[in-house]
Amino acid sequence: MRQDDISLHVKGASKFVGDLDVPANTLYANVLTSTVANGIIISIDYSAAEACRGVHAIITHKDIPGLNEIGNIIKDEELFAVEQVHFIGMPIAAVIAETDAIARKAKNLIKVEYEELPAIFDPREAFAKNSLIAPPRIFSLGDVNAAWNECDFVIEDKVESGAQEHLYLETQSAVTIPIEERKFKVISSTQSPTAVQKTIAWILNIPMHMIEVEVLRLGGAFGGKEDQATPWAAITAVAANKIKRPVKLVLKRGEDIRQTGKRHPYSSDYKIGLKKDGTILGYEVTFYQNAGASADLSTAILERTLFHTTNSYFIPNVKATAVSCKTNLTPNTAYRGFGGPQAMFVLQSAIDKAADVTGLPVEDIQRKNLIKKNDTFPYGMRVMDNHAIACWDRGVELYHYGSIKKSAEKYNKISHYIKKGVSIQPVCFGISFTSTFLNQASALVHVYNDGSVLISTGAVEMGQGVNEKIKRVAANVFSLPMEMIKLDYTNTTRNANTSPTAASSGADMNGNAAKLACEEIAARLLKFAGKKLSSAYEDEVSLKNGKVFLNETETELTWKDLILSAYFERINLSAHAHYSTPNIFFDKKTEKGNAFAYHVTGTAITEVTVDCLRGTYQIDKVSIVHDYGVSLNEKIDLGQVEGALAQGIGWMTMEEILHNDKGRLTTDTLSAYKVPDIHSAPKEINVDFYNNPENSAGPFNSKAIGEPPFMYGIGTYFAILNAMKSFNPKMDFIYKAPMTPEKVLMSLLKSGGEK
Amino acid sequence: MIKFILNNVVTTTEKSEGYRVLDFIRHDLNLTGTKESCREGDCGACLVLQGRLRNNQIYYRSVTSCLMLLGEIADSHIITIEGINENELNPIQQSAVDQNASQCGYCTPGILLSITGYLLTCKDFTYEGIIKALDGNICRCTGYASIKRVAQDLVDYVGDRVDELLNAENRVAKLVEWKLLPGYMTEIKEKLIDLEAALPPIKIMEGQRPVAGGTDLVVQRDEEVEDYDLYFVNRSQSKSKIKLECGKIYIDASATVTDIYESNILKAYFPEIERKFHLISSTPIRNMATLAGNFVNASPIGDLSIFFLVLDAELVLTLDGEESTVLFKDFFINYKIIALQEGELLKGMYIPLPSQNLKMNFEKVSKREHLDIASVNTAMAIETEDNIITKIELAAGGVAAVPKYLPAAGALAIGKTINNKTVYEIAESCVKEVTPISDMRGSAEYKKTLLKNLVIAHFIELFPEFVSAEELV
Ligand SMILES: Cc1cc2nc3c(=O)[nH]c(=O)nc-3n(C[C@H](O)[C@H](O)[C@H](O)COP(=O)(O)OP(=O)(O)OC[C@H]3O[C@@H](n4cnc5c(N)ncnc54)[C@H](O)[C@@H]3O)c2cc1C
Ligand code: FES
Ligand code: FES
Repeated sequence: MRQDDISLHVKGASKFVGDLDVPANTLYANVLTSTVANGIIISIDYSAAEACRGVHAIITHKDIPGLNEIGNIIKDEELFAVEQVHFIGMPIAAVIAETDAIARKAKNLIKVEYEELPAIFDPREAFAKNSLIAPPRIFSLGDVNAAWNECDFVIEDKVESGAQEHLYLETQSAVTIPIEERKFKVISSTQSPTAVQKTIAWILNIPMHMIEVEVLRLGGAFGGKEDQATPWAAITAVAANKIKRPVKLVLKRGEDIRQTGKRHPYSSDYKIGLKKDGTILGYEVTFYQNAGASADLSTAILERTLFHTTNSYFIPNVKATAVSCKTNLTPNTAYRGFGGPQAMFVLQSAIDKAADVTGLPVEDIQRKNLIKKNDTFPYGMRVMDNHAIACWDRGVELYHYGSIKKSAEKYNKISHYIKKGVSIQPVCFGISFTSTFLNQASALVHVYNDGSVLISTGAVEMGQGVNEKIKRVAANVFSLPMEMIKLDYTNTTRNANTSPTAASSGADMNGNAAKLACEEIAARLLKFAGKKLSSAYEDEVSLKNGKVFLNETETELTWKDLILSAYFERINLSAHAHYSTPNIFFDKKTEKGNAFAYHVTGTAITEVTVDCLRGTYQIDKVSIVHDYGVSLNEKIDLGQVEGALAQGIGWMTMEEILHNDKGRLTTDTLSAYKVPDIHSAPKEINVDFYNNPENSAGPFNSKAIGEPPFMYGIGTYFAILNAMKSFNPKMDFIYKAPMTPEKVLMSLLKSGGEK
Repeated sequence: MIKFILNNVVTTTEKSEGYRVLDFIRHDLNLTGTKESCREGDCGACLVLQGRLRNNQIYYRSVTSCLMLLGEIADSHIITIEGINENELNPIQQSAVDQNASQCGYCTPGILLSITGYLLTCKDFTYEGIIKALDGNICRCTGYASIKRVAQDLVDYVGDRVDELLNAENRVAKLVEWKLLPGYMTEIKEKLIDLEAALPPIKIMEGQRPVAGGTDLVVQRDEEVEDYDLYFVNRSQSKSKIKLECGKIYIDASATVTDIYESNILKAYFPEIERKFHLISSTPIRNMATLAGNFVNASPIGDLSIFFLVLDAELVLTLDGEESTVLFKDFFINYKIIALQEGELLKGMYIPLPSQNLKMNFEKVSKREHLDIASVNTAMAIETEDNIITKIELAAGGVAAVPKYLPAAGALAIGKTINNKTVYEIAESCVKEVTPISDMRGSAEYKKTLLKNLVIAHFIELFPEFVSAEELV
């Protein structure tokens, strides 16, 4: 019977941290967090909590033997607040008790007194007050100032996009089990086991080799468990270190939403210049990123915003400035697309407005300015192919974009307040970590002497199907059925110094590492088989469908026999391999370089229906042409496109994060924060695989898939906007996401809208 | 002691009646296929099926175990994901694997149980029906497309045997025969009959807190509910929840939203009720949430409250065996203050049989169309003669401290001809009667605008021939 993740999922047999059998003496943690956005802690009264039956300890920064620090890129974030709190939800202490419920009840009895300080929530205000995470960065190409003179139209505006809650269904969770003295095993729901290991090491002041971090799988992550799984694991480790008993922490949904960061909201100013024929000559943009109270991954995310400033378009003169603004919100963090979507939304808004001002059809401006082979990205890298145009043209033809648009126009002439809207959205996304050193991975492959294969890599399975893809890679190398291969849980003892499973690169890098390791074993086996079959040349021997072939002819020797006899011959049946992505570099001084191994491109055509009386809408159809390279598993890739699209649509439409004027999150439950359900997801999604074999950076010419399709969701915003324009062409529209039903209705009535 | 059947095992526990079924399944029984994600009924990760014996038949329904208390499952059958497993994957599970309809897997058990629940309960078997049955399940990974393909696979699997399924004398046995349910399911009825004898008679005691579906109480009192002395209203429910009585429609307080929209009596008078009530919460919540709970929790955006406010409803209350009545219009006094005394129970509601020419419409707009609380909801019941308004009742939610009955707009309209001008006046008048506040469901200004437009929508829906959208919108 199959034992892969999905076969377990459908039986309810797959386990997550919260499901694990833990030792009977396990204690439970609940975290006390700040209730003010900025303030000095004057006093804390733990007495009532300490007096609760079943409470074993309350841990604070005083129980940290090493550094009280969880910042990864910039060391600016305390695990437990010492003197001052910087956002609502910042950990101050943790109650450790017999049960989760006791810990939570006791936590509620703790009284904290603060001296409140003024707080900042708006990134522009933070910028004005010089409250920054890091100095601003600028990417530029050509000379924008010279370009404006050559333009027939120059348009300026402001664009805003909102935060987004990851809403992985499995909340943050971890358990730390003390093994012997200062040796710990941590089971964490993290995308980044090495970050958890390394952080706990400096917090407990012990070497990394004293900590084993294991990840079975994640119940969704989407970036939310890249950096922000660490504090929860660290808290269990600090507690376990102090009490010498296993400690478990599983956040409740409300705690998770309040205490973890989101996709960064951005406020941006742009200036775009075009010629009469629609050619974009210049684009100047400033991104104000709302980072929250500490750096987290904000600077890396902002860097990717800069990389994707021009999305799929070639613009000869560009100046993009990016500022990471420090505010008193929960530190924002990685989320699928990692700053890319925010950049693309600004440019699409600019092009949309340019179409209105110039009177040119928006798709003509878009098509005219798409990147071509050898065009230059603002960061100096050359465009390697014509896939952006190919996907666009294929989409237009395959899905009959012209007639879709015409029939919507025809419908809108007859229908008064129910309007149809259509949009077309290209996406171009760079693949690789933009921090070059992260582009490495390792794999450990064992062939057991019964012929079964076990692979361990640094990749974490979170539903994206990375295990199945790596299995496919190994199955290809060994020419074995998939059932013979298993992916082990991710574990820092089996694979060290791993990069987070992020940046869509999990399957690429770990797949390539696994490929190298499998090839090493295969080479040994072929050599041995050659001897055994007395063939002089090992390259005449090959593995096919579980059999050994000699000169393309099947021999009697099966995989299992081969392995067993190799074992008796004392041949090494294990291999460890390391992969580092070749030919990538980036120079931060000049802000130029070959930052990416390759790009993924595609185009989405979105059709919606808007009820302009009620302000509601429905997404009828999204039709996509997506550049997959050569897919390692079409079903997995299709699922990634469909799922990412729905999340992108959520970000653009109904997902709205709101705070009150004290900086308290008001949308901290699922009843208040809405993500797409089965009815609001697109009624129909079509995906065309644009196959192309030339990508040598992905295993077996495959391409990364996790993030790029998220940005097809941007098309929904503009499809809705187009429907609205046909109801009220004079609408004075503010480019701000999300496009909630409230935004639709109130925009339709906005000035200029007197009909 | 509480006794029930969990999958195929008779289970007893000494835990308190207010203990959560989800916690019992996961922590006490260590069956971890049932997941917790939101603990407030909004995601379906914890979804299980509950079967209850009535008239010698088991009736199943999907419920969210995070909001269900042990006292509510006494003497019933609970099916978790572990309870649908057999040696081989069943056709639905297999399709989920083949379609890659499970990515991270966290939502998967709930989704498979919703589909199974649909098979057990559906009155019609269609692709759309399966999709609707999934309206309480959030999946953050798949975008639902692969899950829809599983629904299609199931439709194909049943194929031309739909009537055979719907008309089966013993549906459970039929589903077992088709391998869609495990074999033990056919023996559950006998086991339940054996259990049922143990049910004690119950009457509300002083200091007890009534709980019906629990979908409001358990969410609001998340941490305290376990320690409450609870009175489970639904255990002493009357047999037929909706009936015709002395020229009126009687709806029992314990009728769930599902009971209401599935009632043939109500469907006959309000043909749109099923479609409109699908805008209320989700399948599992509708299966639990009751009329009484919706009224007594007095939420200003209660959908049932708004719907029935325009139907001249009268409530029947009981206190120490004494019955009294109150007009529903007079029930809501101020924010969360209602005409119900301490210890008094809501027993049921009468609505007069609607006259032949009564037309009714209900509108609800929320950030997400389904499984969301309204920004604004409104109902209108109207009678006309020769296009002249003879009677009109309007109510709106989300725009005041209580579910708001809007008498002034009604008074103004009587005797007027239905045309654009009248409609506009009524809509404007409604807006004058309300005092919304800005909150996460929208700004006050938005809610006023929306109310106006939804009142216009009532007329566009009901009188398309007399009003023109072109001029009103
Ligand atoms: C996920 C979710 C979605 C929801 N969506 C909606 C929605 O779309 N629209 C909407 O209107 N509501 C919605 N609700 C709110 C809630 O479901 C409804 O208000 C429901 O009708 C409450 O009924 P209940 O039987 O579950 O109430 P309970 O929680 O059992 O009780 C609510 C209150 O009524 C009291 N009570 C119950 N029965 C009686 C009685 N017979 N006599 C006196 N007092 C009694 C209880 O003591 C309690 O104070 C939603 C709730 C959830 C969890
Ligand atoms: S846990 Fe989300 S509905 Fe029960
Ligand atoms: S598969 Fe991850 S939530 Fe549905």
